[in-house]
Amino acid sequence: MNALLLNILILVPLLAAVVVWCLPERRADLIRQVSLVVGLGVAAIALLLWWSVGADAGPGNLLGETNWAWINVAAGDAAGLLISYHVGLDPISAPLLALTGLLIPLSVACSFSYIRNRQREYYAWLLALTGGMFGVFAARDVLLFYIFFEFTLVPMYFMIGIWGGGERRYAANKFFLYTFVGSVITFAGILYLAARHAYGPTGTGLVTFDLEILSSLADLTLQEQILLFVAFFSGFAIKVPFFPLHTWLPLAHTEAPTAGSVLLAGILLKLGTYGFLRFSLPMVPDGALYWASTMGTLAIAGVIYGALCCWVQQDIKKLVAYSSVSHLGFCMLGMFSMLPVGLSGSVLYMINHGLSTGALFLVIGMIYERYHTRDINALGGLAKRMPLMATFLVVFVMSSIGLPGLNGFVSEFTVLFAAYNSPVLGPWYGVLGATGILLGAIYMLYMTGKVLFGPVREPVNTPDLEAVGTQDLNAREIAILTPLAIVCVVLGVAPRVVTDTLDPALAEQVMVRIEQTEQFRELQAGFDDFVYVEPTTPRLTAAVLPETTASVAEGGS
Amino acid sequence: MLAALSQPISLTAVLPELLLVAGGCVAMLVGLSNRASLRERTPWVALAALILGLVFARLGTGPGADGIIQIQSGLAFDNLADYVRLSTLVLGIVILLVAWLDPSDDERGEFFAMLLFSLTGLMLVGPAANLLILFLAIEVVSIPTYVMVIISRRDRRSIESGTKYFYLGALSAAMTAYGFSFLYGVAGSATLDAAAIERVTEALGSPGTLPHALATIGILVSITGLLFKIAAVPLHWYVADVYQGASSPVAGMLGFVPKFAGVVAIMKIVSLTGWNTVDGGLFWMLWLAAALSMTVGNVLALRQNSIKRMLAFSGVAHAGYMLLGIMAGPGHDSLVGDGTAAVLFYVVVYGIANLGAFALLGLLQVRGAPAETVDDVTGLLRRYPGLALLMALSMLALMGLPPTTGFWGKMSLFGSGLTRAAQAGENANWVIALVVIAAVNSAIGAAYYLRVIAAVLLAEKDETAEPAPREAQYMGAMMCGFLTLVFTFYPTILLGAGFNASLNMRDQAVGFMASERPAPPELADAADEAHAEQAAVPPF
Amino acid sequence: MTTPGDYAIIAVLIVTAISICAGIMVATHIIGPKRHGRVKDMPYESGVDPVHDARQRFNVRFYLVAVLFLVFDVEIIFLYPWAVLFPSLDQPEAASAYAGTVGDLANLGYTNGFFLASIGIFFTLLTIGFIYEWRKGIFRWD
Repeated sequence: MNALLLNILILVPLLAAVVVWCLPERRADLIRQVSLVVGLGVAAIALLLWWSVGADAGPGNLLGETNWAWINVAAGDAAGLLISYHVGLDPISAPLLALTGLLIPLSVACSFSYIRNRQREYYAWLLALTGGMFGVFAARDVLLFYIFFEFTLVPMYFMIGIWGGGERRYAANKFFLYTFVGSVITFAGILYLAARHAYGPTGTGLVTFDLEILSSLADLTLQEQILLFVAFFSGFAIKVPFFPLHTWLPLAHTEAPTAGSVLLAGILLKLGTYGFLRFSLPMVPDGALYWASTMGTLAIAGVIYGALCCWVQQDIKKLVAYSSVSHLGFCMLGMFSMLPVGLSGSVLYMINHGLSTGALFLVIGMIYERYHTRDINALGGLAKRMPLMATFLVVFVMSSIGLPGLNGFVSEFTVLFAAYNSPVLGPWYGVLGATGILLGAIYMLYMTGKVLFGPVREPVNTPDLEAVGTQDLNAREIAILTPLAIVCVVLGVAPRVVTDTLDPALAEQVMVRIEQTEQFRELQAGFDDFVYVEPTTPRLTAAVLPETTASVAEGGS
Repeated sequence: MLAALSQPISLTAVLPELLLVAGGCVAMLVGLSNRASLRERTPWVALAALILGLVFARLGTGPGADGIIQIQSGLAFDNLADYVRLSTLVLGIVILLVAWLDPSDDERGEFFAMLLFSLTGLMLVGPAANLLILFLAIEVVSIPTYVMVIISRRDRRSIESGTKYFYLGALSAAMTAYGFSFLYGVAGSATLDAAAIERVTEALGSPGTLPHALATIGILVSITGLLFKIAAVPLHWYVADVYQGASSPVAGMLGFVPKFAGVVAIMKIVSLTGWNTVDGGLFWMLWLAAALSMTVGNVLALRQNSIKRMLAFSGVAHAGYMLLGIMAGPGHDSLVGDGTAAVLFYVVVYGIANLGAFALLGLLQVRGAPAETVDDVTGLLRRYPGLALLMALSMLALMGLPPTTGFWGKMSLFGSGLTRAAQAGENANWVIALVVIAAVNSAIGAAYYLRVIAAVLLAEKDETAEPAPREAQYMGAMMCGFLTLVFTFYPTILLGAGFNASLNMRDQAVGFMASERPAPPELADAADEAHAEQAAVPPF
Repeated sequence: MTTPGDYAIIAVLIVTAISICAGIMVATHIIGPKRHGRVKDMPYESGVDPVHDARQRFNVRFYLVAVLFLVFDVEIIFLYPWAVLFPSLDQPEAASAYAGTVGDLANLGYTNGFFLASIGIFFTLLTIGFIYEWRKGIFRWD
């Protein structure tokens, strides 16, 4: 049953894309309805799947596993090549899959008023992108992952290139080329790993790309790992985007249509961080440890640089785009703290950033549809005109800057805590990272204050209500934003709905590989100040949260 | 003097080739007819010959139990010959459809006859087991293409490009023949058999002696001549002018037929060294040719505005990827490690995608002239979505975006390179560097393919190109798209066929690489020591 | 096994050829009459001026004639030996005196019909070429 649902998630949107493409252009209503129904359907399935993932789900016990040999070339008695369509969920991928599911119907719905031309193609590409994104998170075969990873480029390329703003062609090309250049190097790394596994000392000659097998190679030398890490880095870091490889992002975000921005920030950037978590850390743990402090430094640089760039932006969308650079710096900082708590915070950060930034892009899109500008200086006092919108915007801004009680706080705090206590990074990383929060609060509140409060400022001949009807949010827009606001609050007060299953899985699949390394043992031995909690403790993240202090005793025992 | 006959001459074994030659002769005569209605039937004659050839290639004599049929000592019908023959016939039909209305009325006969002769030559390169036959087969491939370039269009540019192609082709043929003569001298016979491999490897294994020098010169010079056929650096300068001067279908054909003949011939020559491609002059030559071809081809392609010139230079880059596979050689009993299988797969899927792009270019007309520049195809999606998507598919396949055919090809090629690195000894880092160069280059390639995709699908233009009303060309283009899609989702068919085709080359390589092959699983214990030794020297 | 001595006959041929050439040149020099004059001193007494631009245009028909000559004259090279050998091709003992391959063919039981068919194919191809040239109007001078 679960297997069927998971395959539906991947294949039905792809089929629906073909169906939508074949519908006549003038039946725009039908096209939208089909897309929305598919979107709501996959959202329901994705949430259901996430809900049914147990803490015991893991490599041997994947939720909804399907394993079908796709390309299988064998020659007589000699082993051959095996590429499988192998999908399945574990607690690490399930929350990201659920996030994808949540954002899909919202981005379909927000396009109803925004997209006015070539609707048939638009919804077809959007649905194709949906299938691709589910595929990335569900893939258990590295090559299948890579195929979906690259495939997501194509629909997004067209979404930016056809329905984007003034510089859309340039932005789309830059987006595509940046990502493609990086990922071919990653591809070479994956191939090397597979060939090394097949023909290495313990190899059987079978070239397989199975995630489990490649994640547990034991005989890679340090030098190989260091170089393989660089190979993985070049693909994933561009996708994250990691300072200083981030320059494609603000442009792509600014030019993309609202739904494109939402999915780009919400999901596609997470493919990079997910790649680091799934591939770089468990496959080349020694390489990851070797580069950890460099990665931490670059992450801090990204945090501060991104925040400073935000401060001077006049375009709201660009501001939010740069804030993604800053926020994903936090995410990487947590991951390369090499602590269970950091990894857990990092995954939480991926989800929370997807929610709050996605929501911010949605709200900005709604403002843009009414005023046809995103210039901070041209807008002002909108709280008087659009009180509902202002409420939502304030909630999401607060979530983004990490107000306690909302989701952003949990992950930001966890990540900084991990960086501070990390055996590979250290207190300075935590301290410098914390300035990012401060800067974040400044630029976000500065923007909110100018746009929402003060004297009313509206560009001439606006608001243009032709597309949306009412000046304040209409029912459709409220329906889009409400679920996100609810999830932000829920994850703020009860992050354990995610971490309860996530933490054991991270400990079992990722931390265990890092802890096995010689380097980590040395680091740990030299790091006396920190009382290291054995990773078998599943409640570590929960233990540092103020709301759940009561559970510390249980968890620690 | 030819070696003694071991079997009676079997004409049924070469029946498809004979059918093609006969078809070519008939096409030539039909094209000369006084009646216009009969002259228009010329391509039908060629089509009939190709289809009959395909039927007999399947029903007729295939490889025997040992995979080899020996006809005299000149032709050996092994799996490789079968692979070459079948892919040639299938692609030949597509080429014929694409070029259906291309030649002018009074030159149909020559055109289709030359097409069939050229395809026959390619089908003979596969089984050629003798330097002399190999050389003749390559010439049978090449000479008709010179003619086709000239008569495919009626302007001075095509004459110029055809003449250029002819003179440079003659130069390269002379180099190849010169190199072959050295190899003949070293091997003591023109036959490409185990004895010849033994003598050549022995000569190559004793540096400082005269046979060593002769064998090295022979291998290097003959491969250099063959680089012309696959349009690799340093003999790549003609491509852009020739492709631009020829009509689009002929340019598409040039991306497949001579390239295929060239790589198979290079493989046959390299196999004389027992596939010892990772040290000595051969390594450096292949390395340099591959690295330069990729880089130069891509950089030049980036700067082109004409799609034909762009595809021409990108063909140089693709030749570079293929050389990487040849350098990797048939190392292991597995696909990802088998460079020759990868090359055989890649040359076919590249040929299909390239032909698809050229077929569309030939089909589209801008104010009566065939489309050529990026600007000409701009905004195609709005009015002709099918053609636009076909063009995008071809470009994506050439780019190598997963999971298109180009991606599977690159996966096998790069994988074989990386596998070979483990055996390359002191040159291991250079082999890995070449793979990285190839990876970076395929990303550079994406830039210019993307330009065409963007123009076709993203941009809008009032006056778009119009497809000419040519059903056969439509069908040819559709077949390219169809084949690309099939091999995208079921690459196993062609990958497996390519893998079988390289069987003999793997056997030739066994002698040289025996000590480095991984032991089968059940013998793993016994071979542990050897492995430990290997593991002590990590491939980096 | 061939020995260097087997090649002696070739050396004789070479020496004879060279000595005949040299002999004729020397003989003309010695016994030929010597008359000088403006016309007589020109390299070609036919009147063609030997000193001018070598990139001269000439009618493309000469080229076609040359090609025709090559095609239809050089075929004699194949036809002549075939005609000479034909009576004995199917007799192993006799044929083996000429060449290994042909002898082997005869040993394998190929008869005159086969050899006739072989030359027949050759002639057919040649005839197709001839028809092609004819239809293309190569034999018309103007």
